[in-house]
Amino acid sequence: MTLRLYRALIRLLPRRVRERDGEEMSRALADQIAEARAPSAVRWRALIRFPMVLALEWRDAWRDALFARRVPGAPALSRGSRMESITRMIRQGARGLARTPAFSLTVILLLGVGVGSVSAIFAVVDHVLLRPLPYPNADRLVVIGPGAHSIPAMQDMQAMQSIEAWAAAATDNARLTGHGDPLRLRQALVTGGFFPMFGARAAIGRLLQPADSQVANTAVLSYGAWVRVFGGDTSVIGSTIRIDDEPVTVAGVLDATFALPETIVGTTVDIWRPVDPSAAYMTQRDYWMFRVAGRLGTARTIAQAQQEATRIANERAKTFPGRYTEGGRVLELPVRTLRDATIGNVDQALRALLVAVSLLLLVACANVTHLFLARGVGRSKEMVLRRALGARTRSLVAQLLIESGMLGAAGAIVGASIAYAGVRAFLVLAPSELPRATTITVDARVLLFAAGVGMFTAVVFGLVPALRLARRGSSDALRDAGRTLTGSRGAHRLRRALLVGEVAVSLVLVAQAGWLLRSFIHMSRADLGFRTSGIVEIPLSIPIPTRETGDSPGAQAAEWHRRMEAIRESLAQTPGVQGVTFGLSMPLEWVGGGQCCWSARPNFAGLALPARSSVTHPVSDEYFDVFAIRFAAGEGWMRGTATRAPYPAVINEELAKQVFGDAGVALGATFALDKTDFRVVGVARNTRHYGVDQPYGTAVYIPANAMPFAPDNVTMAVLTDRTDDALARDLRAAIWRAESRLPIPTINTVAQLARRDSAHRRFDAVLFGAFSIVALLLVAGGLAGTLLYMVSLERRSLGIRLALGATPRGLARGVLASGVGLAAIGVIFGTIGATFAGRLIESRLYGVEARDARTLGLAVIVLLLIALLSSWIPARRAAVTNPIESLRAE
Amino acid sequence: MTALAPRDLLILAVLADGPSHGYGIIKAVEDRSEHDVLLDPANLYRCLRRMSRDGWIDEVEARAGDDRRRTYRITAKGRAILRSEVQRLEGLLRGLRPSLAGHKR
Repeated sequence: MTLRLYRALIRLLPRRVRERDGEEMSRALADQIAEARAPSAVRWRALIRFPMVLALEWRDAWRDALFARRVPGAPALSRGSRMESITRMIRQGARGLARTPAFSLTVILLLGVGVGSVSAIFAVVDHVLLRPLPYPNADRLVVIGPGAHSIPAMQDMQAMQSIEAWAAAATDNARLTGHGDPLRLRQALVTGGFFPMFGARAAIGRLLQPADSQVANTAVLSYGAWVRVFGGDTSVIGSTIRIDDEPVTVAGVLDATFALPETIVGTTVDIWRPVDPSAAYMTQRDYWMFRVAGRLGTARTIAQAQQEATRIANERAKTFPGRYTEGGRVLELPVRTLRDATIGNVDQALRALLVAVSLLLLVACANVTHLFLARGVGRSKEMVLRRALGARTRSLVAQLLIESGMLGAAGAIVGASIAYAGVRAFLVLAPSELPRATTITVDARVLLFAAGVGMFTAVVFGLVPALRLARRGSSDALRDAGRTLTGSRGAHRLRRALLVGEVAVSLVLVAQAGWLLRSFIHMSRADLGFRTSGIVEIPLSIPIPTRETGDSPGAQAAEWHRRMEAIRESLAQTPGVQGVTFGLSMPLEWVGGGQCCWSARPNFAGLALPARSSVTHPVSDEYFDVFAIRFAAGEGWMRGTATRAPYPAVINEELAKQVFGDAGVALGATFALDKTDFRVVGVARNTRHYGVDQPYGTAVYIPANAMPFAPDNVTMAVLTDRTDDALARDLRAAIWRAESRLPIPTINTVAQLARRDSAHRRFDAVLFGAFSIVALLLVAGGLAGTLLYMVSLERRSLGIRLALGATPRGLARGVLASGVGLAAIGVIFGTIGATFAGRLIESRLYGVEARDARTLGLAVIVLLLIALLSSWIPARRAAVTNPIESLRAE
Repeated sequence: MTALAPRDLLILAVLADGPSHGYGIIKAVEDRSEHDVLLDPANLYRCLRRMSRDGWIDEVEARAGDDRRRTYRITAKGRAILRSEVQRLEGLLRGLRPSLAGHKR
């Protein structure tokens, strides 16, 4: 028993020892026990003494491994002395740092702020830009644009040799009934290739199979919908649910970790269904519904794919005249990698952020170096003493590096916690369009990054002063160190250069923040061209089933209009409602570059077809009143006047200018749109229908009842002065009075939509603003600290100057001048830097000239003021120098 | 020359009388020290490793017929160290004895 335990213990020894003596040891113990008069004492002794030997052997093994190389001929260090010297240095360093808590805490905090903010942004950049998309062969996945295609168009594309697999998906809203209140779900129709291409797995049940597309009534639930709607009930698998009044069998639930390919299906999908082979969209070229993805064959390039796509685009433009051209130009089929398509223009924005935050880190590092320098001068006596006692340069440098390494480690820990908080704040602030945002976390990679940055900065920025310090101790150090001289001339120069750099970098940050802030203010004051307060928008999804009206589009459109009018009436009778209108899309409903829903080219009698198509807005009679649209000429049609062709219509100023050159001329003109005739009764001022930074574009407003088909979607807009909590409930009740089977409608105020529209600008302004405030604080601290320090060093010379007749006021002015002078040099460099950096953010500015001089000037003034303020205290300190005392202090 | 630990001294002394294996050393050290120095295998072999690294002892091939136990033998250097340590101790004792004698009761 004891022997077995002893053998187990022997196995814990370092290998060399174990292999050499292990067997001998256990045999010796066996003999000892066998012959002992008191075996239990022998056993006890052997076991209790073992751990000490174990520890010693491991220490030796490590020492040998660490210091295996010995200088030939040099005397071997006595046992453990090197190891002991490192532990001693660490202990000494810790004691030294604890003796100057203000210094240590400041350095740790500075490093923490710098490392933390860089790591937080790194976490975002890493997750959004650097990591590959979580799909098999993600680097070979491509998206064929622009936007959506029809299934026949995709079949054309399948002639491409360079693409080995295809997937397509279309999303729309679906209505789930029979589970409590009707629910609105986001539905995706996918082709058979979709799940394999994106490597999706089922959490329970199965995914869609090729056979499923023969019978469309199968569905796979997303994990979220399964939990939220069905309470995670496994019995739902195989059961039948009702989607849009049709029975659908649930085949399975998608794995919770599946990351949606956002460019293909958007950011939410609740239910997945196979494409219906019998549906009209499978054969007709008019249904531009499907977004198309492909996988490049191995060894195929995107350039090859693009070449083939261009050929197909040209061919189909010839085969189907007029269908695949726009303004006489062939409609291209751009091929992009899925990664590019997903990340889009965020790339540049995130890089700008990373640059900004790195600048911040730089400023923090400069301050850390200041502190090290200041501390170093104070310690030069210590260094000289230690050198005199026999310490070598190498060990002095090692000692100093160990100290900065310890500070770096502590700074990294603080930084990691700041990064953690920072990422959470970032995600709260971040605009919803940020791709892949849902997966951003502070994980091991980010922590490793934080640790690396922390250690690196501490060591590098501690190294300069360390080398400087350690070099001292030769003859000049003895000379210098006797008196607390002003630090060497080199240290002076370094310190000044650091300050200039800090000011310059901060100016860049402040100027950028200023531009972004002005852009944000400008944007929130911008005239959108329509009323934004007191309006709520309610998107509804109301498909008109053909079995109720027959196949005639006209009959469907009439039925659609009748039901919409019923909802409008019901809403209009809600207390506090002043006006209601509806249409295919309402202002700001589609922001961030998306467009909806119907573009066409109005064919003006006697004039050439406009080069580009116009967005066509079928709206109810009250639209112009509810949104307070202004008119350049004429006015909106009166209620009830739009009864037969030619229907009254309104065009926007942009279209009038393009076609007629002037708004007034357009009045009375007639045009045909999709075989229906219209007459222009008004020219509306341009509106920012798709968001404040979107181009006006050309637009046509036609009466909703003149629409030649029935759309599935509609949006109601309600003008009301009510803001109470019951409003949403009342509006829902009003809708359900007219349409009892509608899902719970979403209700957005236009003000909310406008906020969403400007979310990324607010985000930019807040983030850059925060960075620049931190940078300004750092600069102020750095400047004040350094000047104070210089004043305390120059006490002696100040004293001499006072004794020689200088006035205290003169001394103070000198200090002020040197502080502001340094800042001024920094400002010059910063202005140059800011002008270049302005280009980085140019695309994110709205209504502000990038490199706008007024903002830059303001930033310069702010920095100079800060320099003046932070030089004030050191200047006063200089002014109260007592010549006698300061000379005696030497 | 620094003083040797009693344990090291005893091990060298045991080996000076002839080669021995691990357990033999433990037993002999115990006898010679009149059960004052009790060794355990872990410490013993650590000492033996250090002594053979420093060249005080070396290992000899196991005698034919005996089992596979490793046997240790003192080297010339080991003997010199043992001798000088014993001389140092004797000198020390010579210096101490008279004072003890003077205080005899």
